[in-house]
Amino acid sequence: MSYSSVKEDTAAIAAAQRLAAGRQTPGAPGALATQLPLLLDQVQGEAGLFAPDLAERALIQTQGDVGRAVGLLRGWAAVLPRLATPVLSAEDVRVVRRLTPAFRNPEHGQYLGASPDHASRLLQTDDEPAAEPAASEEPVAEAVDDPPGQNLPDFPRAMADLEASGTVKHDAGAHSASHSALLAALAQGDTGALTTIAYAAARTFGSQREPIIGELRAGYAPVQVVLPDLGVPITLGEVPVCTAEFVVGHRHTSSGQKDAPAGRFYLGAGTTIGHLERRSISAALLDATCSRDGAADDVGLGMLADPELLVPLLDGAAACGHVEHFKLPHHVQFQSQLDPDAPADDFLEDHEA
Amino acid sequence: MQLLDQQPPAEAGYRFGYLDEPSKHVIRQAILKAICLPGHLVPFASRHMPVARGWGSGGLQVTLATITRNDTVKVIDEGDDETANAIGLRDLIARTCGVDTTTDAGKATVIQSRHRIPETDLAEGQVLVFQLPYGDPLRSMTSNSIVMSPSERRRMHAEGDYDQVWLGLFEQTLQAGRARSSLSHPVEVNGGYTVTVASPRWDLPRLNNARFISLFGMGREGYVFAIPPYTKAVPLSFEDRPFVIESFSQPCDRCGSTSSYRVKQHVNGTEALVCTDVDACTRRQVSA
Repeated sequence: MSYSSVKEDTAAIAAAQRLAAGRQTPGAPGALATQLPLLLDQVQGEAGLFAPDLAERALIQTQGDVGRAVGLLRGWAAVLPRLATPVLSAEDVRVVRRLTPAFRNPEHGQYLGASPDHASRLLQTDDEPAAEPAASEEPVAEAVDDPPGQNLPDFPRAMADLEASGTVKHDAGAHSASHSALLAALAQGDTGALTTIAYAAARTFGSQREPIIGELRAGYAPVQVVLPDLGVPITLGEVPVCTAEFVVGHRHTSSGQKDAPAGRFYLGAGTTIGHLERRSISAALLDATCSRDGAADDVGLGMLADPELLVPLLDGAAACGHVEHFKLPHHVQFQSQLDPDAPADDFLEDHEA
Repeated sequence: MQLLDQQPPAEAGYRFGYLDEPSKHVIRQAILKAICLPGHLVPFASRHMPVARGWGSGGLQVTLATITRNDTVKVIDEGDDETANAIGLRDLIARTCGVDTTTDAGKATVIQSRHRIPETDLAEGQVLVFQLPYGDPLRSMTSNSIVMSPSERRRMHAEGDYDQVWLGLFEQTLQAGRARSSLSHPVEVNGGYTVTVASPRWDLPRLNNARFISLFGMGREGYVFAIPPYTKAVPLSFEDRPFVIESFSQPCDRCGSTSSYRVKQHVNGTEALVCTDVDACTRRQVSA
């Protein structure tokens, strides 16, 4: 069916919608939360909206198209009133998992919690539960009670001491785009884009300054509002979050002294809604990349380290929409390109030889 | 504005014009600034709309922030009222605003369009809203736009530094004998800022000293700009290489027009040219 200019096309469009909807089989409400919780987390993380029920609706309505589901949620949330913008510190998060790859045994230790890393990567072809993962060889805080989150210590940020001593610095002032805007874009970035661009950035780091995770924390952030009558923060609930902090060390750059002084490190932080460690790690790596003075001038990093150029690339809704808009009619544009007075490109190639 | 906002929603569950009032406020502020500074790219806090980014979300925000209960809306996509995207946008506007819709460019008070300016002469008071991906010739006419930061481009606009745009036109002219700018031919507005309007060169002369107001919305990029009524809008060209619009080898197969913008289409097994402005073409067929 063409979408050219006849009135009957309205009926064709309605029929196309019916055909697409016909493939959908609604499941029991809440099924995704138990079967595919990380997928729900991803949709909520990319949408920047914690609303599990709505995320499930969006995923079902879009038949599992994450990009479209995120678009539905963002569109839904866009016109809600903004009531409060509370500022939390990392210590406010109720931690249920803590890794510190840079530190063997930090204060209060590490805590494995619910780890996705040690589960078998053999595809299960029957319904037998997977074998219990082998005990980790990593140092783990001992004598921590289950269920997770109960009676765990208030883990201090592992980087706090190094930050206080000036060994680690987060230079957020080097850019025209504000640092909070960058962190917000990273938090809501498209998962694939975050991973790919972080991977590209990591590949440009030489081994001399391979980035290292200082701390990875998964937990629950309190949602607090200050009620006008009371004047004190009231906690309404919790949102699952995951935060990573990277340190990137010193290296001599071609431009000389713009890099961190010897023995100093740049810090990068990334947070996402949901316990999605790959997202927060990627975000933190990109923040670390951007926070380094002169990084954008580095031949290997270039636009990966310039927030103004990086942020638009991370917006999954924009990327999905723009890539898909090429499905729209473009015959007016193509006719302009075909304009017989304008020689075709092969004309140029023939004459440039 | 306050009075307009107190109108009840057209469809239960949605406000009039879908957007919340603070959102409309920031979009209107940007539009007013854009009208005061013709051709200036004004950033605004682009909202996520219930349409895909890149499918008219910018034009839609401008339309919904501009529209009143008494307006009559026409939506065209590449000149056609009945393509999927035009139907979807018109449906959304009608459902959330409860306004009348039309395909008649003469009767519409607000026309949202992609890639075309209606061929029917528009009058004073009519608002033409363009949905477009980019409006910045420093993107489309330069080879390094992907690594040129927005702040650098803002500086160049502020300083009227369009050397790279002229250089791009020069290179096209040198290679092809004329500008090969398709839908991104640079237009100088009011002797100052230079923009692109995502319409074919055929449409551009009708922007100059137009009686209607043109508002341009880029939802993905988060910019608006405007060409107010009776404002100079001149496609860039060299003195000895005049601006040339697209030409067509045959008249429209439907209405016989030799002065419309036409595209190739198969009609009864042979290739013919047909008008892209379906409303204007239909009117010509009826009156013939």
